[in-house]
Amino acid sequence: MNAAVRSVDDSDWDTLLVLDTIEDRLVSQSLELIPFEDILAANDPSRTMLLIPGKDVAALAGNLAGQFGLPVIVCEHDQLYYPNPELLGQLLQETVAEFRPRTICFLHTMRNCQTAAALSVYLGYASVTAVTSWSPSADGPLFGRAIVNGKLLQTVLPTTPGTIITILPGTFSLTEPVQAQTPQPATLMRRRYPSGETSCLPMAITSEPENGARLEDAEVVIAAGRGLGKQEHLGLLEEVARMFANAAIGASRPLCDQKWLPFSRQVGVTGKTVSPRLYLACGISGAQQHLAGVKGSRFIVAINRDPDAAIFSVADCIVIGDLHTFLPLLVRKYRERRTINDHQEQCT
Amino acid sequence: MRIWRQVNISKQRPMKILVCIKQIADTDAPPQYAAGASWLREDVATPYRMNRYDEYALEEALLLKDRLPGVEIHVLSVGPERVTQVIGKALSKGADDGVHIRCDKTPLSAFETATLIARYAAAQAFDLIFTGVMSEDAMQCQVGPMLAALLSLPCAVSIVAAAISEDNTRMLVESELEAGLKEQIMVPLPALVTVQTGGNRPRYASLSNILRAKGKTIRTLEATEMTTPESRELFLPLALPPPATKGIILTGSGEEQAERLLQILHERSLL
Repeated sequence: MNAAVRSVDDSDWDTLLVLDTIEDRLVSQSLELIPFEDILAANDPSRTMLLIPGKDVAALAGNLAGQFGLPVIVCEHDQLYYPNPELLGQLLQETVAEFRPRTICFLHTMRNCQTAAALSVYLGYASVTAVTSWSPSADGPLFGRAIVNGKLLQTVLPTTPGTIITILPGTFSLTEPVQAQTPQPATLMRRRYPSGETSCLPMAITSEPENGARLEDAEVVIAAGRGLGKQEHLGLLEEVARMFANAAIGASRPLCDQKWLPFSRQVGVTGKTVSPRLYLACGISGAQQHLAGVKGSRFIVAINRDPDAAIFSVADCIVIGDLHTFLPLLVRKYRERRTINDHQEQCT
Repeated sequence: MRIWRQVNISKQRPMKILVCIKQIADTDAPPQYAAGASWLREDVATPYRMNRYDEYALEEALLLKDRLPGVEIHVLSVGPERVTQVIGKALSKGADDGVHIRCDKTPLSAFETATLIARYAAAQAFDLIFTGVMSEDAMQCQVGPMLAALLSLPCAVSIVAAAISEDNTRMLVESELEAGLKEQIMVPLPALVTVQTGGNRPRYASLSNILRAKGKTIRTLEATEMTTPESRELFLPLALPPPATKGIILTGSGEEQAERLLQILHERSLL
């Protein structure tokens, strides 16, 4: 933050970071966009702006402007109280016309992909989603993303002057709070749009009732993927979970699709983000969509038959093998150790 | 797909539905690609199947057809000759009409695919368009919402439940957010929705539909005869992800691996 903050009247900003809110509360994960901005080192951070959509979010925006020393555009509309990607896309057209940012960044969620797609059509910008890496090149920035279940990496070069990207959650972790090096007075630009007829009308947010300990609160998550094979084998995971004091069962999406476990147990982009002390991935192939939800885990153990499984790229400890033979062995060996330890304690 | 209240058949007008489907290389097999190529190989034997998300999109349309009279389902796929296989599969599940936009270029950007579909769909007056929320291979989540924007249609993404109003003018959908949250959205028709997995159970083809499908022809449109836009993205050569160098691989017999893992968990005070 050495460069002087430019007057907000200037146009042609480099980057617009669009944060997420639900019911006028910040989705804190969207703050991951801010360290990404630091990584775009070629950009002068004084040319970056945040945008907060919502119904009444000026106070929230003021806090963020002060915290990060970045100018914040407040984009208010009564129908942005709930996520409204269609309306947001329409309103962002006006923001872009006013400030002309070259890069517009979102956190990779399904609704942000909708906004990105619509904006790409309206503005003629390139759109690259689920970005996991970035590198400079003579022709412009190159964006890396995983395809085919994380088995291959695709590199994309936008060929338009403007680019929209969505960044996969967990790619750039906010390890320490970003603070403005020199505290800046909060710069807020409030754009309030009259509520009128919108085509899609968000009605309510609902959540699935949860049974048992919350996945996010567990110290250990034992997670299963398609490699589990049959619903009956969930009992194996429960036995492993009983080895630990505070463990919960999680799953990748296909298991929840099959209704073997409720969606409140799903880990990944469309499910929950967990950061347990131990994540034990059993039979999970490790598509980026799943990995995004586990990257904050302190220690990851992965068991998979496929030696090329993408889950191994994030694992601290790798077991190449069949979970149906390995997990029972693990439980048996654990019990043997316990018996020996108990015996030793009794003898002393 | 449910229907609000008791359906008054006389009020129901016919509905024309488009389901966009993609054929993908089976993701369980190791991906085949040549050095320097920007997409998977076309010249080797590859098991192909319907994109899983599109199976759920098709099922949502078929459920509507099961419940309402006068529902007509059109399926469309963009790609080389081989994609007619998934169009045939959709017909054998109960779709009424199949359209193939033949295009040999791979990979197509989402914008190119959406534009080709829009060129066809603009003149067809569909009441409802379904797509999967994304494809399992490219994983962009873009073709559906881009198509909606190109056709100026209302759009809701990642839906897991839908109910249509008695007069076919509105649809109440449940769109999946993250962390177990869902959003209820009222969508005026005509509209486009993208379907997430888990909201229904895709059916198998019935014998009667398989026989009926044999009598149907798939119409082919040539992408080269449609005005196509320039891609806004250039796809550079594919690469393998960096090898897993971070983790330690446990070796030995199953017993030895289990012992070693317990030891590691113990050392890290996890047990």
